[in-house]
Amino acid sequence: MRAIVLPRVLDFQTYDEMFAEVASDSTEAVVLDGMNLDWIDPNGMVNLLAVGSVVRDKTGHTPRLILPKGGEVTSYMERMGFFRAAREIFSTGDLVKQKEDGETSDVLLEVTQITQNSDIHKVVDKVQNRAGAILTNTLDYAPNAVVQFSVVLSEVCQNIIEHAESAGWVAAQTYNWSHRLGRLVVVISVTDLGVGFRGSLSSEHSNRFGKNWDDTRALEAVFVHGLTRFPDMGRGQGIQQIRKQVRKWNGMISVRSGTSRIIDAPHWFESASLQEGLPSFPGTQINIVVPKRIQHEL
Amino acid sequence: MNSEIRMNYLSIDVGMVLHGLNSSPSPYLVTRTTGRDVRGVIEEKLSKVKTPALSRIDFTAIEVMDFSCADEIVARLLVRFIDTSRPQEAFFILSGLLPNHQDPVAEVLERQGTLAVAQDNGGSLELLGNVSSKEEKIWQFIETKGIVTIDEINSAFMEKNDQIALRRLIAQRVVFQETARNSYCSLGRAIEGWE
Repeated sequence: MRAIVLPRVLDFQTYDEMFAEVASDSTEAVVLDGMNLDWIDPNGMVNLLAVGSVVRDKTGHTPRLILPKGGEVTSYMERMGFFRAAREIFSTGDLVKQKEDGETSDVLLEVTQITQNSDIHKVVDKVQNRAGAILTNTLDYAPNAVVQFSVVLSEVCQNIIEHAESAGWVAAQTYNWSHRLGRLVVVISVTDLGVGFRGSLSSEHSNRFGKNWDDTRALEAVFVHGLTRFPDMGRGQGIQQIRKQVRKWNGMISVRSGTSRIIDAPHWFESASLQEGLPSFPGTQINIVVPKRIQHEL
Repeated sequence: MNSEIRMNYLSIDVGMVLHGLNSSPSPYLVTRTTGRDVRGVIEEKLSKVKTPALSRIDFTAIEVMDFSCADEIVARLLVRFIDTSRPQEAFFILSGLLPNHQDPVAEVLERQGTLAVAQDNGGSLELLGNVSSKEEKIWQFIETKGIVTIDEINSAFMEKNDQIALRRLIAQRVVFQETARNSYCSLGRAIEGWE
């Protein structure tokens, strides 16, 4: 059995390490060792589920997940609905017994599986009920920001159903990024195990790029140019509109697909706008970070 | 039926349509599938109305509208009835648009190159979409007068570009052309027979 040790911090900056571990063709059974996990965010959770699914499908064995020593992290994962989502993916031996209606008031959006249209409606229902107070009272956004927030979530989740042709997960939560940014943020993470942007666009657009057609070109085609595999007008605007809204919020959005990641980085986040040669992983991973509103930035 | 302008009226409460679709009994108009279903119901209702029809699509009960739904319910509905192969003669007025709806609606209209007429709570009409200043001027002229003869239009707007602008307004069905009377009618006047 092969052990994959999870990083101490599992978030949008470290989940690539997990992906690298499962990028090989090994069919050996796997144990994911989270014994030393100190911190996990929505990106960590949804992508841990993605890694577990890939391992399960590749090896034919349900991977085992060793939970962190610290009860605080496990308790947080429980509140975020991680264990409910993980039931079919990881062996249940180490999983916390999950309350059926384990929704708690401090969670913006629990880890939610997206497989069909009605799942997106449930996400919007939840967010409309919960996010208003957080966005206005905690993050100082205008009251109508909750609607824009719901629209972003709806469009980003539709990306899974319309383009991935596979299941995916979404989660969102607020954090105090006191060290990184000196203020509160909302983190939204969406991941799927589908065909990725390259797979989605290949039949319609690969010919025009010829030999240059790769994950980066596919990402740019969607993220920058709003292309889609659908030939009709009006499609492909989802990601474009999300980018526009996130920019208005002075937020950050990154999209990873295949071996590349493209980032719309605001001034507070230093990063190259394009990362290539990443460990190959199925599907698409979207990360959105929206910071607390500060008057002079708007 | 308006005795002056022969229109048949159909009011569609999008909130009620959404409620009638079992899948989504909520005020949240999200996902392309839902948008497509709502458009299907609207088109079915329209098909039962005699032509020419004037339909008011009321979004008052809708709290959230995403871009996919705006594309399906606003842009694609209008495009279908602007197209010369349209299923029937129909004109549309959008009403009850909240500030939160403005961005998605403006975006999809621009993307599809479509114009639309919206009515605010006070009853005033506004032209939405990527409209030129000339088109806006002619549309306002017709809106203000209600009914305008071809001669009146020709004497007020004599440049070649004016005619191009007028033709676009007619093609986009944001004014009603009464060929039998050699005149143009504003949707604002057309809707008066209803109210």
